Amino acid sequence: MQNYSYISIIALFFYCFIFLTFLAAKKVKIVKYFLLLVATMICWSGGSAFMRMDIYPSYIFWYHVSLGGLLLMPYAYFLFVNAFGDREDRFFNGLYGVFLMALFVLNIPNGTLLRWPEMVERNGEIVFVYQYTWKVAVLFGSAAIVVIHCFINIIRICRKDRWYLKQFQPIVLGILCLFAGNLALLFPVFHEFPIDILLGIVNAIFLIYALLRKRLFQLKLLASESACYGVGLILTFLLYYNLMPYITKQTALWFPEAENYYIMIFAVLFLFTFWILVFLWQKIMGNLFVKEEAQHAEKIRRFNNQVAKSLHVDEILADTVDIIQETVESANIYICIQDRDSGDYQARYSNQPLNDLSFTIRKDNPLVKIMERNDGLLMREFRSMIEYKAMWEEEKRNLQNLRIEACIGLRDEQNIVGILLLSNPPGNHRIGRSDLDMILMIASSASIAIKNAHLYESAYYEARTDELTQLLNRKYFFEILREEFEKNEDGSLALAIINIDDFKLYNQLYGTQAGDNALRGIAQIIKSSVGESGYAARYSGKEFAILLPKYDVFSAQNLVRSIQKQIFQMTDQTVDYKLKVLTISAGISAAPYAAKSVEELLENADMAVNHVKRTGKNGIEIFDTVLRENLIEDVEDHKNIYKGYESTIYALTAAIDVKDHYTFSHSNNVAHYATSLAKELKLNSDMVEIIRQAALLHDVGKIGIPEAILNKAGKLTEEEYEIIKGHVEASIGIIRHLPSLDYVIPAVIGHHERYDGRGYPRRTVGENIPLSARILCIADSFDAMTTKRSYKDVIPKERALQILEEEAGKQFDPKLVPVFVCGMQEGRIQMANEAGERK
Amino acid sequence: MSLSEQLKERRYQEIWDQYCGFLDLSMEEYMNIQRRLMEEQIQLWSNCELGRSILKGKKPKTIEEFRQMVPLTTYEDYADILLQKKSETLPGNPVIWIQTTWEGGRHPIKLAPYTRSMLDVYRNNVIACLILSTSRERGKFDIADTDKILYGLAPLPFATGLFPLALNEEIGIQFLPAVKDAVNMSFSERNKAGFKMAMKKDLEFFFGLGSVAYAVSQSLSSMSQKGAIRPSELLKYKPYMLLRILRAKQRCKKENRPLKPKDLFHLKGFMVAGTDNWCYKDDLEELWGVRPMELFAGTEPSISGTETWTRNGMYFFPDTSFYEFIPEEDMLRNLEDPSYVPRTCLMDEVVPGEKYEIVITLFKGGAFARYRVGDTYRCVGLQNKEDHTKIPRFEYVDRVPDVIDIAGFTRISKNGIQSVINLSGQPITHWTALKEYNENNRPYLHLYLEVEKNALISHAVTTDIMKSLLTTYFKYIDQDYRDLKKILGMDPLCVTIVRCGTFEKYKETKGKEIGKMNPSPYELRELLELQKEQRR
Repeated sequence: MQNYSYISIIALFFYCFIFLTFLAAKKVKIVKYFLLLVATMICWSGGSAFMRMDIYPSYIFWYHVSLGGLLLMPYAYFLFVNAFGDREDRFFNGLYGVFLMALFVLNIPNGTLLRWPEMVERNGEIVFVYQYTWKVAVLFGSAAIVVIHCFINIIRICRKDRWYLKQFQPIVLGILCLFAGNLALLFPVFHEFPIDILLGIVNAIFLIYALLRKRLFQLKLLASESACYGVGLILTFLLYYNLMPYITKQTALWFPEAENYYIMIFAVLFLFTFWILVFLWQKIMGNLFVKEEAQHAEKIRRFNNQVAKSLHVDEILADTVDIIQETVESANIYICIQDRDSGDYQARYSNQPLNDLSFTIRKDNPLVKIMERNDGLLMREFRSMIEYKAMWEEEKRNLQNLRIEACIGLRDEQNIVGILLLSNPPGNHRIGRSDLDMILMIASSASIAIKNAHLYESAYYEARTDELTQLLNRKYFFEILREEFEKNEDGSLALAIINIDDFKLYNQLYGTQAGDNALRGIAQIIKSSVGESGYAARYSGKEFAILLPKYDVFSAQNLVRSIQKQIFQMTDQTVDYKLKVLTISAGISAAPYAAKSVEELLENADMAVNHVKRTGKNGIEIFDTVLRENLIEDVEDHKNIYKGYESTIYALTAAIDVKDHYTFSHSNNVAHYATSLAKELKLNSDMVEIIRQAALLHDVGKIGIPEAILNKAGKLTEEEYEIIKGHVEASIGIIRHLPSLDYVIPAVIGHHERYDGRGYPRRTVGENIPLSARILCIADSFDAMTTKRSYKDVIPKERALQILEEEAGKQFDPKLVPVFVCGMQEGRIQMANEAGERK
Repeated sequence: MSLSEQLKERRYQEIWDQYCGFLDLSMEEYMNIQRRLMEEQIQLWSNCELGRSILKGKKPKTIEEFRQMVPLTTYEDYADILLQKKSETLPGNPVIWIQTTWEGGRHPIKLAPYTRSMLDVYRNNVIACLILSTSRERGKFDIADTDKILYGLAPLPFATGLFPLALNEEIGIQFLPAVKDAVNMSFSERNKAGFKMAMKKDLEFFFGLGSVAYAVSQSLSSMSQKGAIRPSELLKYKPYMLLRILRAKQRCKKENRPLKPKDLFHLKGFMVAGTDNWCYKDDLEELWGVRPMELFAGTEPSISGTETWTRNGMYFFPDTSFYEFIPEEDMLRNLEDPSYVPRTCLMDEVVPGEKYEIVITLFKGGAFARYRVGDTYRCVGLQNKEDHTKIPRFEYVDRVPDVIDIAGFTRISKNGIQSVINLSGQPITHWTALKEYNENNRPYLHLYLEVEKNALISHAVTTDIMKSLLTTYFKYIDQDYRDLKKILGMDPLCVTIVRCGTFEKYKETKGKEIGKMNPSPYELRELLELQKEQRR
């Protein structure tokens, strides 16, 4: 047997081996073109070998197969190189294919371009003699054009991205080998040796190396046992089919005596080869498989580096989603992060910017419980678990609507701090266990990074924001102010300070909780109005500052006016009961018009605020000598605002008097004690007046309670006690219809609340009970103790004071009781009957 | 199945039916969709806090009741809730908040919430537009997953920024430049980058505001004239693009004309949106070789309608919002007397030839109900033999008369002009403003004003000074006006000083003052005639 034949056979065998391997790989474009390339090589080498062996149907047929392979190989290369470099070249892809195919077909009938060789017998060996004409140049010239274009493309791709330079090296080397092989044929040394085919094999090796280097394949499929045996069998058969005559000949030559055992030997050899091939195949697959994992590991390593460096949660979430998409295909990826307050998992990030992130996974969702145990979970497995029975229909529907297929927990030690949700990729592929393992690796480093970034971000945020209003805090505001002042030295910078009018009174009226709510509301209005155009800060307790770069006084004033209007309307929308309308006093100043330094700017704005305060509050003042404009609107005389309702109150108290004289005098007494205590506390005159009115009206609801219950001598039944308790609500029911008197509601509604939270009707605790109500509570109880009722005797003053002290911190405000007791003992507060007599 | 997959499997008929099937609807079927979706929306809207704040205790059950109980609304009615993004008070949960400028409003911007279901409808309708822009007849279209589109649009948070995101949920169309790069670029950088990429890779679609598309197209010819292709970049070009560039340059040299986009690109589809498109359509067709297809979209109404292959009138999508139409007569009466409540008619009650102001109620949990968008349309027909439709067809007329919109860029209101005049400190006593078109069909704002007689001694009041002063203040109060100059290179103000006493004279002879915004050409002529009379 000639060198020619067995080298061709080995080449053929080798190419088939590659072809079959990649046939099972995932058919991405590059793999398809690689298969085409290998197919042309198979045609070329196979055709050439079979031609030499003169196998059926004829050597001419195999010549055409071989020539076709050779001719189309540059074209396959062209496609492959483009796919390898991610290039689109649809036009040439089509053109070359059609052109080369046309040349090939043209050559078939008569061998117009290159005629098949003559079979000549020389020295007992068959030799092929070719007849070359100039026309052969057309054939190979065309192929050469494609090859040259292919090289140009390689250069282009490498120029665009230097990374490809290394990737293409083996491919270029391979092609050079191929060339060298064909060139070498011209030298007589290689005349009888198929150097071209041998170097073709080298080329194929280079190609595989390039592909492996690019790590493009998902060859997992091939690792299965049955596939290995199947491929091994096919290859062994191919090998023996071709080598059988040679082997038989050689055996006969060396061991003529073993003729009877040929079949036996052959079978053993066959089995042995088969075993070796399967073994080799498995090894190769194993290696490729490891390679893929290594490739993923490399990606994950890069990801780890990246997230470890970042301290921004959103950046980390984006990177995490990206890496998951690179390693595991998924159409929709969601990341839910645990809310620190509620413990539920709120959707925070998704790979698709328009995905709905409004869903929450509750912390008691069975899914979370399983993830605490299992890390990752496939929905199809989850559905068959016992825990699935505890899922709410809505929870199931939500996950179904999002088409979630896999859930992975982000862990911080034992706790699940976040959840990754993945849907299946488009097409038929489904997320599997191995994907899950990959995501788990990612999730573990992501959760650490997220945790760190979270800590950093919240520390950063807390250091710069005011806890209550979420605006910038004073310290950070000054930092920003200085920065912006420097930045805008050539432009303009406006500063507005907004001070809430009578906020102390508001707090006293409705309690600190309502006050805090008002601050939050105002902050929200300021924040949304300023938006991206400036900075808003809580400047002091009840003052806000707005810094507006590039704004002049005029625009700043428009903005503040809009804020003023919104704040004015804010309290209108409260549903509970009508709150006092809040107004603001605002001062504006702008650099460079009226200030040349940060200090001056601040001082100007402050002075403007003070000016508004002095001239009646509720207004906007601009500190600017050029544009000075007085915008004070709706100035009211605050002093007398609460005195105008005297007649209404008189009418109501008169009504009480008619129905129940005791309640009437009790109300008067309570008014006396409450105002005295208020004065002891040095509250301003408005507040004292409001407390007086509230005291007069606090029991107005008793009008509706039957006298039998009111004056019952014995112990009240539970039912009767409930009726008595209802008088608070009844009082509010009456006062509510007098909008001008709504400011007494907080005091009235809270006068039976207890400091320890066990009072009624709202069970408010401590300082959340409005100050006025806490005062009323002491005054009310003291008078009830020190007057005679049908069901009880008078308690002496000293004992009553003692009871107050005993109940301080339980029923009464512990800070107010000493003030009241002290005032009594020192004679500044008198008993109601004494005071009345004296008057 | 996504559009990409449908395309791969060549299910063209299915694609057409899915996205453009609304063109086959009969009036009855169309109204059925409108009513069904409206019933759903009434439920959602009436039961949310936003709805209750407008309904004030009323509870509409039917569409008729809804139209009676809900007053016509403007952004002012929603501002408190929407500007503070109070999601929990809305009829649907917003996935994204879209922003636009609020000219003449009490806040610089308007915000509009979009729910996921609204975005789904938006996406499908955007695809319908994309398909229709390539179609030359019913059922025939030409789109591919690998197509490229020039990104001549503002990115998020503006409504146009939704376009690429929504489209890419269904199809892999490539935006030039890529959206994630485009958001960090200025307008001109974006255009330059986009065109550079288009020259290398070719281009199949273009979408922009009509005026912007025109400006961009012109910048292309100047761009390609300036920079010859650098040899180092040669390899980055597709060979056939190189060929086209060379051929185009040769042809332009021969014909002695500047390079036009049509020399380089053979667009499959060309879409424009915004106002004043009609002034640009012919020029754009001349430049690109394709007649642009107009579509109708906005921040509040999202995408509401599109033209078809006939490029002859637009159709409203049936599933975006519930449409009501205020007849012109009622609209004008309402402008004069804001207390007058205009009548509205529904899609099946419009009359061909009549001009209407549109009122929308968004479906799918949208916030706006009976909302006056501020656009006027003319019904041009109830059926069309050309494209075999049986639903009303409209053409865009302009904004409502009390707003002057220049090239879809800025909306100038009466208050806006008044504050500009106040700010300028000029002794202007009377004025009236009109939108007019110059000889090249470009829109501009024409301000006729009268100056105080006595001030003439102490003030320099030439037309030029007035114009430059007022322009300065327009730019000061209106960011978009600034961009008009920057992006379109337009100077849209023209000032005419009317003889002193003319406005007074008009009032005397007519018994009423001339309208400040867009008085009829007849009234204006009368005003101008009066100054001649005075002279006599």
